Amino acid sequence: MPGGAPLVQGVEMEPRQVRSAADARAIVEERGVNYVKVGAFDIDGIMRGKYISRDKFLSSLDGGFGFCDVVLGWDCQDQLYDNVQYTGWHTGYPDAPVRLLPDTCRTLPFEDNGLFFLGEFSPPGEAVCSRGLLRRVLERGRAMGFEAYVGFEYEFFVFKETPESVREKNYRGLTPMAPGWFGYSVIRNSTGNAFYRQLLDHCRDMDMAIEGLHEETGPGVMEAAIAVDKALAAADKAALFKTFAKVIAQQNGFMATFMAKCSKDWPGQSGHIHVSLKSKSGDSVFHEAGKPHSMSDAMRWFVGGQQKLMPELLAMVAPTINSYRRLIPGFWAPTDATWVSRTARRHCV
Amino acid sequence: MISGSPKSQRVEYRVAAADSNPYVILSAALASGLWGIENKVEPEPVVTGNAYDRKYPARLALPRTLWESAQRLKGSKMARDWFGDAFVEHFAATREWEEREFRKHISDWELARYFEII
Repeated sequence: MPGGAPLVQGVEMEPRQVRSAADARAIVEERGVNYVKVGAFDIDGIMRGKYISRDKFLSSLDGGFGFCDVVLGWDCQDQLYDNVQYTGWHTGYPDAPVRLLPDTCRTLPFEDNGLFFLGEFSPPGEAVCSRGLLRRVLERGRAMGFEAYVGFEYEFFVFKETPESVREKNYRGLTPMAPGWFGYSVIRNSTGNAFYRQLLDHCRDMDMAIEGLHEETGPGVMEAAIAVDKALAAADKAALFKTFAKVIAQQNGFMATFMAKCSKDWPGQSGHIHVSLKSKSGDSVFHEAGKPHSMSDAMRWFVGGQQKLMPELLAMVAPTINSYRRLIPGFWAPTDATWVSRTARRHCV
Repeated sequence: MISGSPKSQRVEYRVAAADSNPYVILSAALASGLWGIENKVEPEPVVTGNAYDRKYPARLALPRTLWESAQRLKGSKMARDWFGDAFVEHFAATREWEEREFRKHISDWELARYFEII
């Protein structure tokens, strides 16, 4: 860990202890880092970021910093949208103000424990910032008396390929991390142990700890369940996980894909979300002993709302052309807004 | 939904794929549920057995394409109320763009299927 003078209390601050701008200033100064990595998520959940110098970072802590707003005006292939109001040639792509979020400070274990901070677009970009959107939804839920707890779990394919080799092969006939159908195989997770271990360790170091990780059925498919947290923190962890799982894979000579469906021969890749609500006093809003499925009225209505609105909100749930390849009958994914009941197999909030 | 103890009782949103933006999908999953509580929306009868074998009312059918989904989102009063007009318009436009980019592309499947025979 890079050196630096200890805090007044004689204890070196850990990145996840950072809460305020003053803390962020302290940890950057204490560690004597020259550059800080900052990032913000675009509309597709892709992290756009850069390194900024210590001086620039410190001066940005209060007033924020500018990020060319083209990151809100282009698609996942950096092609400029011609049909959005927010930005375009009609606005000249000015800088979008970004607010740094001190309490998202994390270590970068693969960059000599350098420091990383997330940012969020301030107005006017805030209206189309996905993190800002979630924050507003959560504020409204809080006004109703609810705090949401969430756990994301992801399936992803891992290939023994590089960014160059997948292009040379035109994304066909790729070599999976390991062959065959080896759901929950301990042979696979012991043989390919270095990558598994690094993924587990780095995710823990970056506070997006994995609660369960296993080889899914299908060649080179993994499933990672990220530990439950309050909704905004859980979404940060999920978005960071998707970004850095790819990084860790590439550093191990693999490529991870989170496409919904990358082959007609294999199952699609889910990103299930586990949600529970607590009241202000910390009690479960969803559980009521004695009712069918132990389901409170609030939980039943919650499911009712999700079910009724799923067709009209599907664009936010299935946001790519490829998403719709997964939503076909017989492949473990739904085609209608239905619900089922089952018994808990995983401890959750 | 997953029934259990007060600590483990939860909803699992299974339509979700790995390719979604976690903030956007969670906004949809939570806001729709909260809207359901606000409006006391009763769910349809619970499905038992193989969900694929059943016939469901048309109102539960999911849009089949991204374009159709974007149109449904733009027309959603709930989405405009909870997410704001600016977000809904922007997000729907970016999905329409995605489908327009897709339509420019002539796939291997189309070439192999039609090139000679049609």
